[in-house]
Formats: sequence, C-alpha cells, structure tokens
Amino acid sequence: MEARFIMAFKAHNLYVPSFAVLLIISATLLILAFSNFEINQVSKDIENNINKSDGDFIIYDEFDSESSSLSDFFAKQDSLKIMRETYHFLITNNDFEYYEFANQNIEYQGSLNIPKELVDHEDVDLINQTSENGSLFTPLKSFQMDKRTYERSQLESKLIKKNGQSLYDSTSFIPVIMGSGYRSIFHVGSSFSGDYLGKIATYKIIGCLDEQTSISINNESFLLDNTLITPTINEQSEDDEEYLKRLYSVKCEGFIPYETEEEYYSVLSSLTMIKEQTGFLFYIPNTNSNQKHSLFGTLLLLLSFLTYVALIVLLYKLVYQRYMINKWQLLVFQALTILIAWLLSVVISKIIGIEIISKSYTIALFIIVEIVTLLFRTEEHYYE
Amino acid sequence: MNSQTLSTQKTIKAMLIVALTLLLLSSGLVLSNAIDKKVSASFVKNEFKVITAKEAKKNPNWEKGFYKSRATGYVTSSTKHYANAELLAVMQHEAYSGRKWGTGKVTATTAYGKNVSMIVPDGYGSKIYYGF
Repeated sequence: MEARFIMAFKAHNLYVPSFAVLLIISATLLILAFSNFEINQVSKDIENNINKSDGDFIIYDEFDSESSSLSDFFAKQDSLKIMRETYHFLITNNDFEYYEFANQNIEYQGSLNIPKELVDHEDVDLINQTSENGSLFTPLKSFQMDKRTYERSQLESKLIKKNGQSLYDSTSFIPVIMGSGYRSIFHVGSSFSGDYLGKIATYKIIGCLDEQTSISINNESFLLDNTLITPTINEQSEDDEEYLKRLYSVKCEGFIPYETEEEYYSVLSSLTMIKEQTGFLFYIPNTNSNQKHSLFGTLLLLLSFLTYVALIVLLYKLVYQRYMINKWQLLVFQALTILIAWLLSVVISKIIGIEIISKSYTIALFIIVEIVTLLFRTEEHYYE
Repeated sequence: MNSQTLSTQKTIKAMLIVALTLLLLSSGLVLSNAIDKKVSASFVKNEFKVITAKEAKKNPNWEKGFYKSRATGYVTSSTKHYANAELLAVMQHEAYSGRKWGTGKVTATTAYGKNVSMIVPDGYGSKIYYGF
C-alpha cells in the first residue's frame, strides 16, 4: 500500500505541489503565530505601562466593537433602566468618588462666524453646517462637568469676568463659562440656542476664563481657551426616551481618582461588581492571563518557525535540486508562497475573529525565506 | 523544456490562481463591512508624530525617535448619531476618543496613545464606530 502510494507520488510529479501546500500552511501558521506573539507582548506592555500608583481611572464602556454597537444596546427594552441603575451605583458608591465629566459638543443654532480653533480637529467643514430643515448649526467644543470636578479644577479662581451667577444654580437656562478664545464671539450675558444630545435649550454666558487656563485629568492637561464649560445635565420630566438614553450613556462616562495601586485595583473590583450587577459593559483592563498566552504564543512561534525553516531546506534539497528549476521560477515560487500564506492568514484571522497585524512581518518572512534559500543555493544547481 | 520544468510551471500557475482567489475572498470580507444607509460618509486614519527627547523624558513608556500615534476620523449623517474612534497598537486597544454625539459631520479623535511607542508606524491601527 505504502509502496504504491510512493510510486503514484513519483509518477504524478507530486513533489512540487505537495511541498507548495506544506510550505503555505507552515508560512500561514508562522504569520498567525507572529501576530499572536506580538499581540500578547503589546497587550502586556499596555497593561504594565498604565500608571497605577496615581491618576484618574477614566470610565468608558465597551459597547462599540466590530460586531455590535451602542445602538444595539439602546434597542434593548431595559437599556435605559440599566443605565439609570449604573449611574445610581456610580454616584452612591462608598468605595470611590465618581467625577462626572464629558466633552460633548453643543450645537450652536444659527449662523456663526468663528475661527476653526473653536471646533473639533480645527475642521472648517463643521462650521455652519446645514441641517435637514435647512437651518445652520455649528458644534462648539465643550466640556460638561459636575460640581466636584469644577471645584477640583479650581476654575472659579480663573474667572476674569463673571456676572455673579453660579454654574450650578440656574433652572431657566444652562449657564456657560467660556474660554478666552470666545471673547470676540460672545460676552458675559450673551445667550444662544444650543442643541445638546438632541435637546435644544437656551445657554447663557455667565463668565470668562483667563488665557491659558487648563484642567488636568489623569495627569493630562486640557487647555480651555477654545472651549465652553457647562454643568452636567440632569434628567427632566419632559425628556423623551431617546434623548434620555443618550444622556445616561454620557453620564456614565467620567473618572475616578486613585492615589495608590491598592486603590486602583479597588476601583477595578468595584466597577467589575457594578458591571456584573447591572450588565453595563464597563471597560475593565485585563489584569491576568497575559503570561499564559504569551508563553503559548512563544511556543507556537518557535514551532512554526522551525517547521518553516525545515520545509524550506527540504524544498530546496528534494525539489529544486531534483527538478533544477531556474532562478526566476524559484523567485516567483517563493513570492507566491508568501503571498498565498499572507492572504490565507488574513482570511483565517477574519474567520476566527482576529486580524493580522502588519505588513512588516510578511516582509520579514520574505527576507527570511530569501536568506535561508541563499544559504543552501549554489550556482551549479540552476538550469538556464 | 523537460517534464519537470513543465510540472513546476503548472504548480506556479495553480498557485497564482489560488492567490487571486484568496485576494477576491479577502476583498469580499472587506466589502461585507459596508457602511450603513443612514451614514453618508465615514473615515478614519492614524496620525503619527516622532517622539522628541523632551516627550520621552516625561513619559517613560515613550522612546525618543519612535512613533506615537492617534486615531482620527469622522462620520456624517443627517440624523443624530455618534462617532467613536479607537486607537490600536498591534491590534490591542490603546485608547478611545469617547463617543461624540452630533448631527451632520461628527469628528472623533483620540489622544496620542500614552502606553506604547513603536519603531515603525504600521504597528498602529484605527477604527471608527458609529451608532444612532
């Protein structure tokens, strides 16, 4: 049986095709192993590099991914209930202090002549956009902060102009403190109509900040010159459900300060608990299992690499020398092997839900193939 | 040409066909992620900067001469929607811009990733998510 198989193998010249298949499978494994190894290394680096001894834990969720989005969560019947419950947990928790802070734009209603610095990414396309009903609007860079964040940032002492009103007392309009970049646009006492998350309200400027005023969150400084500051907005009885969903999704984004590594892990543990109780998908950094994955990745990488090198040597010894292919055929053969392996890796990785990382690894693989082949190549083996 | 050379040429031709098939297959996978009808435009890219000595001194995770990156993009729709950009470092989540809600063109930009730096920029990636 075995002899018949070998005979058939020889008779049908199956050396080249079978080695091509083996080489492609091996190269595919190698590319996947490279990715797996590198992913685990960087994952570990990111986790290790987070400053856990002093900072602010920025809270955000993981609803947005390749396969789902926040809209899918909003479509659930109890989504608003979950978000209300989550927000309640955040503000009443005894284990940490929650600072509510957001940077949603306020869409100024009407025509506005402003410098590009006052809009996101200095994108002039954002200024005076036309809405579906034909009216003009401009999204202005804004921060919403609760009283706790406002006091921590000591912004009251940075006000150079104010009309005596508080950012947290008004009910008839939404008070606004403007950055110094707005001094040529508005003055203290100016009012305008603005859209926040789909709800239009009257905004009134109650003060202006000194130039170069900034706030610091998680050891990062945010310059407020080109920004408007408003209080965080709370639910009102007349609010519709769609607006409330947007509002609560924003209200559940903020930060929690920590001063020691112990506090950092305590925050993680409390958020994990809230996540489990409510079903709200907080982002919690992965703090375990990297080591195990990394070891697996290294082994897989080593194994794939050894198999691949062995196959290149075998390919040369058993196929190239035997069939005396010319150097151009050899080059095309190698290039195609790598190309197929790369494409196969992309398809496999898409199917199993990861992505191939970078072109650098394919180029590196191609160079390895060239070097290994060169090591075993001598001129007399070429047939030209 | 002898039979062996012909066999090799046949194999190369077969491999070429396999490569083209896989290329079509992978482009099909890309097209399957087509944008929503309510979205008229969507775009995301990475922006890079070379880390200076001063920046490297401030942030121990950054190396001088290496690249830092941020993700920036936009989503355009006439209905109220959000855009959320994500910065990836070797496919690992590095930073989100945070959701930006708005109408028309909504841009979202992450901060420069603080936890890693890269010697080559193509280790970075970016994604943009949206919803209504």
